[in-house]
Amino acid sequence: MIIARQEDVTTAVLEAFAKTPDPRLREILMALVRHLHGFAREVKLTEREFQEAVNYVVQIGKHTSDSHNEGVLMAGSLGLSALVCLLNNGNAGQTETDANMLGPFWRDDAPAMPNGASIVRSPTPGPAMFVDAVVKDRAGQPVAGAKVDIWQSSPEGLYENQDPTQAEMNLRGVFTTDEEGRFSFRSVKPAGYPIPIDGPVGDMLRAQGRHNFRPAHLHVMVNKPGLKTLISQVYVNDDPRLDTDVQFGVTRHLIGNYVRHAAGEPAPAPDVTGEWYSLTHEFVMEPGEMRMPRPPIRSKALAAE
Amino acid sequence: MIIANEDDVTPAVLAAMNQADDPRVREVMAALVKHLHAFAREVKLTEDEWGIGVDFITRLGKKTTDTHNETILCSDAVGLSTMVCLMNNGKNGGTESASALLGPFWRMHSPETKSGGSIVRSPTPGPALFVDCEVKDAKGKPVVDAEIDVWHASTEGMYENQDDTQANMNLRGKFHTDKDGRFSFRTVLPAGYPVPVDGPVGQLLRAQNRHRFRPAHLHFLLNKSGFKTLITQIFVNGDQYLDSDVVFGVTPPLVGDYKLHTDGPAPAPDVNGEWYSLDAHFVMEPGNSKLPIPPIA
Repeated sequence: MIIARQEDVTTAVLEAFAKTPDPRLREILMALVRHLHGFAREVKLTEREFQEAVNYVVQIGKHTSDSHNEGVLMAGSLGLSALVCLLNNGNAGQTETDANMLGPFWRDDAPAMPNGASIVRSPTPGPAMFVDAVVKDRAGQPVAGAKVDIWQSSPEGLYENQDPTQAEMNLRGVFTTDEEGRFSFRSVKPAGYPIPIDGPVGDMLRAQGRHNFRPAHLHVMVNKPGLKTLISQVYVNDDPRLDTDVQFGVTRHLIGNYVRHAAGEPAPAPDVTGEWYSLTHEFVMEPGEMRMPRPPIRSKALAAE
Repeated sequence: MIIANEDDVTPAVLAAMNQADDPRVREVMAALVKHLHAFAREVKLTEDEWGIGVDFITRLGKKTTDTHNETILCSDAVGLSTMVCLMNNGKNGGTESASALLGPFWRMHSPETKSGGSIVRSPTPGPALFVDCEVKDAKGKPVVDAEIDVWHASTEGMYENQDDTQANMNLRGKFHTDKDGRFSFRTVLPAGYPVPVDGPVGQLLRAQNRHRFRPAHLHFLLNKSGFKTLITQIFVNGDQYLDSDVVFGVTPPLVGDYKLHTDGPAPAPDVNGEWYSLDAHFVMEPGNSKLPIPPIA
């Protein structure tokens, strides 16, 4: 159709989109256009604002590389990732779930480790942490032989792929649950950290007067054929930013039971001096399909970057 | 706030965004989040679909270069650009507007050309076109010494920045109106053309069974202090894609009266065969003159 008035634009676009043969794609794109146009109408978006918005999107792509995904960071900063996660887990958001966002730092090639081993691969400051966890299904039965991917930032708030001073795959490892569904490992206590603000996400946060920190957390992904891949984060209970996470990831259920032990209290390893932490957690896997996500990044940042 | 369930996510985000000092930033971002979240809820967006969407957005940026803006193309292909254009011109879209999309091919520094001059800067096939333009204000008075950028695709449907065989700035020129508000130039008849489909927008169009053509048109950008910068296009009457423009850009007042001449003397002695003429009339609205951000360099 030839457009006569502003109101005709949405009708013309929906008419063109109605030709989409795939019904799910048609549904998504038609809803997207209605909401996108509804947004522009509601705020009466000006031409200058529109041009700035286009440039924001361009910059999201320009700031995405093999070692950083600005698109994932923006989706998280708009709360979309948290929403999609909860919409698709825990009975469509109606019950508690261990599911949480993948985040932009998972790598699909972390090394396999025996239970009890340490994922500290190069000297890393911070208190030792011993994690003892169990994986169960909804009926409460242990899930044996599940692959558990662990990744976290250092106490300085950097993932190894962001930090040339850390060894390749530092604070990353893949464990396998035993016949009781248990896995355990040693690490250091994670720290909260700032998300990168040298791109459009940083511009947005500054304009909104928001801080750019995530509360400290441990990333966990559990895979076992016959169960839905569980992507989780367990947040550190003493973090001051639990209620202002820049990525809106913290749910009540995922605030972990990190227990502080004073220096001198007997630790699970003889070399521990000073205070140390322990964490126990029970992960519940939901029925569904095992499906690994696509890795948001593919490599480690080079020292030259 | 700490999120207990899915219903809490939107209030948590709105509370964080409400810290912005600038009231317009607050307003725009709150509306964006409400609509974005409502979209995800309405279709119950899956995690895989979310990933495809995020990847699509990052690829728009990656595909954008100094000579191509995939993001504007995408905004055009979902009708957002035309909507923003019509909302902000012609009395909030309430009346007909002379405005049209800037499109992704405007360049800031096209060469100054004398009125009556040709913008054909390297051999370009196609019938000659002689354009006579008149620029008036809302009261019908001529607008003197306005600066006008003209740009268009070749008869083969390519802008010079997309096409190594055309000279730099071919089919682009900058003119000034005379004391009667007039300017004129010679060029070739523009052709309709396909938008580039080697990026994410191409994937979208293929998935939707949509053709990728724009009807033929000339682009104009008129600038004079004291007037709102006028960005417009004049479409070629009779083009087969007028009612299915892939970027939803055609409105009735923008369809031009391109006249075919098969005989009689042309305005230039070297014209052989058929040629075209176009009389174009522009009305500039009062407002601020402000050049757009160039989509390509």
